Amino acid sequence: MDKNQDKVFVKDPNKTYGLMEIVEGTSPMVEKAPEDTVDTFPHYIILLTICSLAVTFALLLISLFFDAPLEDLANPLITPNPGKAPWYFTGIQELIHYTNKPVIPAIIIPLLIIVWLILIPYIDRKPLTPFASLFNRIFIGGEKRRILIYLFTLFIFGALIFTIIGSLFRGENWSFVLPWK
Amino acid sequence: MKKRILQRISDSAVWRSIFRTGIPDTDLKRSMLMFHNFFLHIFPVKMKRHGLQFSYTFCLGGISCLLFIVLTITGILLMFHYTPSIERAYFDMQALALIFNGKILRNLHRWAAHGMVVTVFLHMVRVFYTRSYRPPREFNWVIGIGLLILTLALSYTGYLLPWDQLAYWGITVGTTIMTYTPFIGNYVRFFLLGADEVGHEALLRFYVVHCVELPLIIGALMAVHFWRVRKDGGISGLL
Repeated sequence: MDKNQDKVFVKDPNKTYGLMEIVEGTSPMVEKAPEDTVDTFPHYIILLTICSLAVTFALLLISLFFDAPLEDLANPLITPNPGKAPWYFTGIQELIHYTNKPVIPAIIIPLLIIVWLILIPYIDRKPLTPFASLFNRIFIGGEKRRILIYLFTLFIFGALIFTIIGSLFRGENWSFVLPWK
Repeated sequence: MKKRILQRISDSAVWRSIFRTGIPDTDLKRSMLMFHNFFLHIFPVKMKRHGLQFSYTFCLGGISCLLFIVLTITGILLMFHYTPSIERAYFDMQALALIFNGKILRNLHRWAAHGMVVTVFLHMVRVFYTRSYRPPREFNWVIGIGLLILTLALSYTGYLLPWDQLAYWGITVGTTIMTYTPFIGNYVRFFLLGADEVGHEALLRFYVVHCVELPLIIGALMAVHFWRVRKDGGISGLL
């Protein structure tokens, strides 16, 4: 929490005078530093309403013009080629395609990514010991967290690229196809 | 004139019995309006000015929540027209097109579901780049990761319900990926499907998990997530 904000008016015991200033505002503030806040109503509530209506309207428009897919009745005897998982898992499918050991991209990599994501706030913190400082420099990259940003961006783009390739650029027998052909 | 009418309405006993506060023309009344309303009390009475800045949050968390509400409403309405059995599920889907607004109901549910996967993921990306996971918000980030996984699980379990080729083979491929788990792979798949193949048991299982279990869990976690945002000092500050 921003505790420094409240410390603005800490009295210096060596000083016999205090400074005062008239601050613009709509309500009296006693023993409190000026804060950069606004009333939730109406400032935020108006934005919330506009944003909610805009998203709902956009969703309605999309639903009016694009129908959700419905293919033929499920038939265990007819295997589509290629059979694809939902789009958010096609990235994993694409990775499985590269290896003979599917356990690595299917289980180990997703699990490692989840564990790493959960650990991010616990490794990106102020180092207190020399070891933590070294750890921080290797895995985070100092105060500017260059390494962490680099890794996270790599993860985002990796997920994006493999998902796009897996869901759009793969045809029969998982061969490379161009979606516009 | 207009003001007088509004005044009369907001002073009336009925209005006061429902909303308690009159026209919010003072700071005190504006605070009371937020504080004394069940639906608004999850928001703070005052918030940091930069918290309103669109380019900081892109409203992604809020949009995710809104999509979840849309999904809950359309999902409940869809349940009136759906039977989780392999004899009926697909034909219920076809019949939905004949029902007034049935098609748009399904479209809304489908696109909102895909949208929610995207916005929840982007919300995580935003929180990472603004470094909002720093203390005291570490655990809320962990809850957020849980919510992302639950969102994927919700979307995935709903994927089977139309019982068309897309659904059947999507789930077959997805659960085959799970069999690659060392040692317990086949058990995981059997646990999920209730059988060795995707069939009636799997449909019923996915239906119950999709409509009851996961929404309850994700609802509870969302409550904790929002509560912690407030308890950890509201929206994070600028870097």
